[in-house]
Amino acid sequence: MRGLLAFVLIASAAIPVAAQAQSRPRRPLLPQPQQPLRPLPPLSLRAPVEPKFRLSLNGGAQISSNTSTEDGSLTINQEDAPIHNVIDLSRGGVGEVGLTYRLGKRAWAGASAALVPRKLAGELTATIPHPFYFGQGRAVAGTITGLTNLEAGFHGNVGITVPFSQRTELALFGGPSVFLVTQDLISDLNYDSTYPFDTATLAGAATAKATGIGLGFNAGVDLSRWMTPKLALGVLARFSRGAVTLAGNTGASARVETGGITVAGGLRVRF
Amino acid sequence: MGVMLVTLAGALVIGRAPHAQSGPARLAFPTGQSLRAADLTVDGMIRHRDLQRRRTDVDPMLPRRTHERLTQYHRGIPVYGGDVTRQSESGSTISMFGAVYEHIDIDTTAAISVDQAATIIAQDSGVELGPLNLPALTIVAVDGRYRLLYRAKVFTLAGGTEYVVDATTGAIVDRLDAVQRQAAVGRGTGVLNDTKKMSTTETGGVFTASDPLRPPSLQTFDMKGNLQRTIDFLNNRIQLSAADRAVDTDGVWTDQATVDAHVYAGYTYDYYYKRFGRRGLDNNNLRLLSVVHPAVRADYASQSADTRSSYYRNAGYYGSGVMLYGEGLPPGQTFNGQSWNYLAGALDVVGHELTHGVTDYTSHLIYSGESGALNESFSDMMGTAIEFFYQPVGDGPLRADYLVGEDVVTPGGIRSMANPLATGDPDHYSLRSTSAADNGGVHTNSGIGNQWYYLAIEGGINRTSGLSVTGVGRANREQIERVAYRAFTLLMPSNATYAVARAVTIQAARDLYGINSNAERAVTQAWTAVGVN
Repeated sequence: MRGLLAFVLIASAAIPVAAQAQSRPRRPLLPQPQQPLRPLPPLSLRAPVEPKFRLSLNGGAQISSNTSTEDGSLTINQEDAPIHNVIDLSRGGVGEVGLTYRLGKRAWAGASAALVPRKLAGELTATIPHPFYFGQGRAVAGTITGLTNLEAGFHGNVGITVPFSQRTELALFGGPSVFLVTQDLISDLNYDSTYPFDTATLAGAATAKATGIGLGFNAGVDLSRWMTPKLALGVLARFSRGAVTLAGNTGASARVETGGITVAGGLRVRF
Repeated sequence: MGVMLVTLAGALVIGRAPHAQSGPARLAFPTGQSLRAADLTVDGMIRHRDLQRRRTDVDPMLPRRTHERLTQYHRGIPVYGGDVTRQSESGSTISMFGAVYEHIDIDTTAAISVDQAATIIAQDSGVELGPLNLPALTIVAVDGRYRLLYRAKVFTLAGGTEYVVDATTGAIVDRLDAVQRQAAVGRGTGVLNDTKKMSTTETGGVFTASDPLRPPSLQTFDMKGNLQRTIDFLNNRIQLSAADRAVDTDGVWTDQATVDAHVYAGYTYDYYYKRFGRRGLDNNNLRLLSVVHPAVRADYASQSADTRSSYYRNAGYYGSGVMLYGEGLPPGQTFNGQSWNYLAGALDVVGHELTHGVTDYTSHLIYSGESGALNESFSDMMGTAIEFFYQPVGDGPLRADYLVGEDVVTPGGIRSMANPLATGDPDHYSLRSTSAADNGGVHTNSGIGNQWYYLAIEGGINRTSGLSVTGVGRANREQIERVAYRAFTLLMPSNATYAVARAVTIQAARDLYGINSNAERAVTQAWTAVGVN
């Protein structure tokens, strides 16, 4: 933030200099009204400033072999009803914003936040206790749709920039990550069963949101093509990995694998 | 005119009155010719409404077959013991068992009215009959002639009695034990602290022993030791109210008698459904109403001998889906060297009582003499079958074995199917009781059928005859269960004797498993071993 403030200050100081450079004496066609002379701004003694900040806006996809595995136990018919719900988290759309600060000629540090919102299906298996008999649970299985998973990855990075040409550069980076996950966990089961209740069919499940936080890491590359001195189009590839444990209000807990391979593209703005 | 009993098993046989159960007892297997003749006789009687279909059932085991139950009537009045079962497939008769009476020449106009008969019974029993228990006319073959009689059941402190009143003279002809129940025989002690699931109903934080999950109404009532109220209920003089229902305030039931009566009634319903596809006692989800705590345990010593026997050391099926479970003895007290816990605490006892209900709605085996012994025996068989269905095999509490009531009457239970002699019951037809007591020894002579059941499954040697039987084996026990069930629910007439039981069970084994099957061999060998030929 301090760096951003500095950028704003520096930019506001630079604008009048540029304006002065463009107001050369010219010969007017008609007499000009006498204008008061404006005082010249003080001359800057610094060399032209190379922007230190770079803002990235990306959109893309996250690909992984991640799953969320929820194991828990409800109490049904006076007995424990074990549940096991696996959600495939292998794909998701990503929106990301990042900001880097140039530390040296090529080195830089930065942070980014990536959001992966998903609405997925879980493969739920459970054993529903019999209403009349102990130890005669009925195995059920089914797909629970509409489960939400919101994965927020906060990636801290240090990196170096490798120019390929005057307009194309490649950045390599890596660092720690923090993952924040909010996800639906199974809080109750809906099932159909009729007398003699020896079998049951899963009809759905009630869910409750749970939130957890976990640590991980990330590393990646960013290829940028500068269209103007300050604006580029870029492509990002990042591998990140982490895990979050969620605790439900019914004693269930879920281990959610986070991260994956993110491929995204978007704008780069230097300032 | 003498009484002519025509027994139908393919051959027409002229016999004696039904109470002389040693009459044409052995029924030959139907042959094509004799079966056709019997079929024609029955059809003729149906046309003249002398036989009326009580019910027709689709065979739950062989869906193409149907079973008719026909009751004999004479001028609109049922003839006691006139009963025929007919098995058919695609219009062809497969088998027929039973007996009808011929040449009934009795005047069916009763000299005394129903109200007069009720008064006679009330004066004798001291109990006024409820409107649903009024005497009903029936024709009975007694002592070689037909008589027009009233029959009605009465329940008193001493137990249940079926009165038989002469509709012409008003004389009380007979008093029969009206309750089909566990005989008060046994030994032992023990408390079963097992945990069960209770299917109950919650209303406003109060849990009621009313099962909302099973198809029939299944409720358990706690009489709280009010013996007079119990008797009034059994006599249909009062209706049980919501206040009589067994309740609990937190859903964690601690009243052991209530728990076991309620849960085991459900288990029994489930067994019949899962094993045979049967829906309750009447196959139409008749209510199951269990009654516990009919008396106060602490009052045992001050009660009469009959009251002790009926409401403390017994359980009974009282008709219309009502079961009553005795209170047992106070801790530390014994009877004949045995401790008696709550009778509802034994799964086989509950299964036994409910099977009486099944019998009532099917073969309706007459509760006296050999048919009564068969009635008892099939209840023991099913009670034991239910034990094996739910409990692991072994000795001791909550284990499946061939003792009856051993979980609550300790040690030893009240009957042994593996060795009936051990509890004083016959294991062979030659040893049968001929006493008139206990409705002709129904709880004693059941030992013969019980031994048959045991041998047909487990095999072994009958101690009296020394004959060896190759049973179907434990792994195939379901075969004998199905044979027995088919026999007493579909094929057997109400007046069956042990000889009829042999014929019927062999027919059942052939129906289900084929001629010369292992099941038929085991069934036949076992009957021979127990002296029923």
